[in-house]
Amino acid sequence: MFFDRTGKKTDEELMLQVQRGDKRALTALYERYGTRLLRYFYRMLWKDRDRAQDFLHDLFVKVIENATRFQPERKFSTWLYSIAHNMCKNEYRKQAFRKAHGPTPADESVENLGYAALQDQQLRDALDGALEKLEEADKHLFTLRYEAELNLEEIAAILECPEGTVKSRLFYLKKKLAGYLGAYHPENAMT
Amino acid sequence: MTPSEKEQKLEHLLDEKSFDQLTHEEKEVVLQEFGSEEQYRLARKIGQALVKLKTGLSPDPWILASLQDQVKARQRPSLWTSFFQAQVPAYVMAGACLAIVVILWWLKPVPAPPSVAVRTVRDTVYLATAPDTVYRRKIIYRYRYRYITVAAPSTPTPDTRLAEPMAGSEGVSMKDKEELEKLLVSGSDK
Repeated sequence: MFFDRTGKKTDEELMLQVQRGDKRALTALYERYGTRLLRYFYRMLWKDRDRAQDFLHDLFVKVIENATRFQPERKFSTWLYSIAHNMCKNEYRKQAFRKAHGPTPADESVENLGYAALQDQQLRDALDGALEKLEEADKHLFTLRYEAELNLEEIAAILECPEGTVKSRLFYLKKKLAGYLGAYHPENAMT
Repeated sequence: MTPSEKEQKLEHLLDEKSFDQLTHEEKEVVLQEFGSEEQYRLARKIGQALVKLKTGLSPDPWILASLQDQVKARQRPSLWTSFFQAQVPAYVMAGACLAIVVILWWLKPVPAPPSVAVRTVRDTVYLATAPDTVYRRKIIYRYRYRYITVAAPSTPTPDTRLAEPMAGSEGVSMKDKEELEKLLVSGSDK
């Protein structure tokens, strides 16, 4: 549209327009967050592409349905990722139930992969596998920081903790991953 | 330095400095935390890899189309809104106006006769009974006539005089008498 100014508006302003049923405002928000949220879901939900697409769709449906509940004084990205995180938590609960009542999957732990050399691509592949084995909280933190590219302040707001705690947790995450990958071939990790 | 501050500082070092760039004090802290130089290097490499470790995914187009449909469905106008926003061709509008004029002409009311209004007015009436007794001060006998009988010649002589009425001896005039009678009969002076 010639006079479309949705690109200049803040997330919160766009959300107020969504509350009034503005289709263009929703499209603008989707374009801002869609890809990052898809990656977030993809990473959080066991790298299941189709499930991530479905979750992305469901998340924005929730945004439309609960648009009136959004408080403009709250940051939109925080609100959005909080909903996304709750959706993932529900999915984890369902998955835990399925695991408890289904066949036991084969052990695919990082330690059993046996890395020959942790070159760049190999390191990424190994990391990819290691990240899948992280606990929910660590995976969530990693995804928010590196997939969703949120800053520390935003992550702190989503996780409802101080920024310093986020930093500490990020440090522990890296240390943990280094422990996973370096336990077998520390000599290959030279920079 | 509290543990939390130490971790925050280590996170900062991992992001900013390679092992060789660390100061002596920083190296001590790092080695104390990581155990070896290799572990620090690996952790730093992991940090850099994590930044690059983005999945090259993009949302399917059906998602946006579906969401726009959802918004449209929720925005569906009410019956009244549809009625007022409906597009009507000009000839239909002209026909409708003509029809309204014709109907109004047929339904034009016959002039009604002026209505007679019955108006009841209430007022207070004060009744006063006329007095039965009339007090009236009136001199009934005003004049007293004195007649002198004269047996003498009927022709008046210069000596004979006709007696004139005296003050206080005058009688009742006819007019007064009539009024008095009227008064006695009616019981009122009105």
